[in-house]
Amino acid sequence: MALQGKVELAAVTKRYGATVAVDAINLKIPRGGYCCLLGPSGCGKSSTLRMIAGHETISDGDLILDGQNITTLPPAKRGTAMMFQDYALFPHLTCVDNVAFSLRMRGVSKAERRGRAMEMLTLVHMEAHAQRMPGQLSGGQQQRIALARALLTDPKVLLLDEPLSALDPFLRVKMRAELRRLQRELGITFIHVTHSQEEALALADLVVVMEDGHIRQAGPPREVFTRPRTPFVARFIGGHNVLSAPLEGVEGDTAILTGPQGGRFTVSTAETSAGAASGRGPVPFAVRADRVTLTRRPTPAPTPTPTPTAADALPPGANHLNATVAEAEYNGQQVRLTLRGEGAEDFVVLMDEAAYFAAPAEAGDPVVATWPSDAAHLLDSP
Amino acid sequence: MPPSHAAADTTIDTGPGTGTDAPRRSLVRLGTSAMSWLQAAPLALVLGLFLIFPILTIVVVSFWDYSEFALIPDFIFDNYADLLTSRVTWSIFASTLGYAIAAWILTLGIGFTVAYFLAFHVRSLTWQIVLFLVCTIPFWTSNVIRMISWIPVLGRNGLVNTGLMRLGLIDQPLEFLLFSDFAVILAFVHLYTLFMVVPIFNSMMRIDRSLLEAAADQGASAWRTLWAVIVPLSRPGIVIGSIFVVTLVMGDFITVRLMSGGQGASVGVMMSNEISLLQYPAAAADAVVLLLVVLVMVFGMLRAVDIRREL
Repeated sequence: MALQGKVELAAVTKRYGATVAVDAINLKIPRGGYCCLLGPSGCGKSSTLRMIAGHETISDGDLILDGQNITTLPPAKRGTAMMFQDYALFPHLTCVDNVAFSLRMRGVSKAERRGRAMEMLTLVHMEAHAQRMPGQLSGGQQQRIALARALLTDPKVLLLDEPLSALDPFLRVKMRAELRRLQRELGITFIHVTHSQEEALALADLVVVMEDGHIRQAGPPREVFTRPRTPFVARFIGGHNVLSAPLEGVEGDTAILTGPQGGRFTVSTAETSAGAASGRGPVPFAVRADRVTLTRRPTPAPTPTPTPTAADALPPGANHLNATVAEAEYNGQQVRLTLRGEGAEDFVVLMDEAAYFAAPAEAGDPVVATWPSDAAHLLDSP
Repeated sequence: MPPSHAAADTTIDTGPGTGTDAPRRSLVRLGTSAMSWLQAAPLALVLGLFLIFPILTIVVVSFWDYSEFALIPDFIFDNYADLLTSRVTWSIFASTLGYAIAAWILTLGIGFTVAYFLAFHVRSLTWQIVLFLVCTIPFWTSNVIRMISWIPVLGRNGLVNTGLMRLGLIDQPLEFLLFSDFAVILAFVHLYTLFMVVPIFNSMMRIDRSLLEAAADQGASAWRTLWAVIVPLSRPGIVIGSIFVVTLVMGDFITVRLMSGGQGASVGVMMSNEISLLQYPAAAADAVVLLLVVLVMVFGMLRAVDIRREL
């Protein structure tokens, strides 16, 4: 099946009166791609989706689908279909009539539209519930009906507004896999709005992180996760600690920053724009929470003593941070430790469960956190 | 119930009761059932006294005999026989039904439109409230005054006629404006449209706005959305409003008498005439028949929608 649904947004802007909800964003989504718009509430991701759907007028800019400018077309003429957050099933119609609604609007005969709707219900494994009313179904079942209804219009682009947020965690994971399967089978573009970075990473070919009506970063999930570009993205995507320190210099592909108490941070500049390296003042950088090693530090004496401590034993130049464990949270596979140290409030360390319990650290324990320089990278200043 | 009683209950169930526990338990039982009766009593009393009793009285009286100056307790069917065999009563029932149908169609049309405008086109809650209050302005004064105030508007030398004559559109005053069926129906529409607006508006406000977007997404025009989504989902409001309007119009006599200038006839007017002639049993028979007709109509309307599920 030929892939379809190449979506281009060119300087698309949404203004509500004086407030700008979406500020001239540019985005290209390849045909047959799975794109997740990710961001906190109020970042403009839903407005963007609704503009693509045609349920919100575009204040400025152009929207192009497969080479056709659809900026001002009505929703049904765009080649898009939307799956609404609360599913928006018609409560007075049976499931099969809900799915067949678009055909009814086009004047297709009752027998034919029921037949087509049944095919679509089979695709989402809901054929047994065709004669039920939406109110009699569970959330997950309603979602499948909504999906079938949206797909029956033969869209080039399916727009999903927080489709999984109303489901319980188990169902969410299951439905996630199913969305991915459907998208591959149909060969159309899915644009999926979510505030869950986990969902975005699991599903998308293209993750678009938004903040305050701007796109902060767009790229493949692995790139966004391993190389977040700004402190906001690093914090939002999770798994990173954002620190900042004055820049001393750059040696090869390693930037050297001044740490607290005469220490140093070495940060890899490979694969980063390193545009920030030119700036004066503290430079932000991100440290992967799962690549930090903790070493127990003896309780500091009131005055520094000449006896070698654990910190002193570290090789020179290593990234290290003296801190105290504030909290240790057991998460199953991992243990999440929150550290408090100089220049790093809420420094998170994710430790393998077995490694943690080999030498557990309790709240209040003094520790040294160290990490290799390739576990850190520079960020653009916010 | 104090916990000690509950404990007594459970011990009795597991073994033979001791002499002291058994009577206490039955007292508690009696207490709770008496309590339920007591709780239901006030409403039952009010309904019994002010609804069931009067209706029963009317039913009983409808079988009585009467002369010019006396009611004679009896059990005769003459009142019903007179009523059902007289062409006059049949035509009066027909004209009442005609008023009800005309008023229903007009109040439904206007009420639905107003409710639709308020619910879907007025975006801010403040304006919705303001416009809603505007709709209730006619209700700030009494029924009768509202009707009488039509007279200077519609009369021979009223506002409408003088206005139209000044404009040169007519040379003679329009006679049908006042004291006519037109005036009666106009007054009904004026009086009762709000009874249609309120329940329909209420139903419409409960329609999830994303359903309209979903309909647009599915290629429905505004008009198709109205018929395929909004009207079916407003059905409970439409039925409730229709019940209000139909029952009010069917039982009316003052509007018909005032606005038709005594020329129009309705069952209510007929009953009030009979009462003024002291023909209570005849009026009671009319009332019983009218009640049955209205009940059948309400039942028919309730068939159209499961109100209990929708509320």
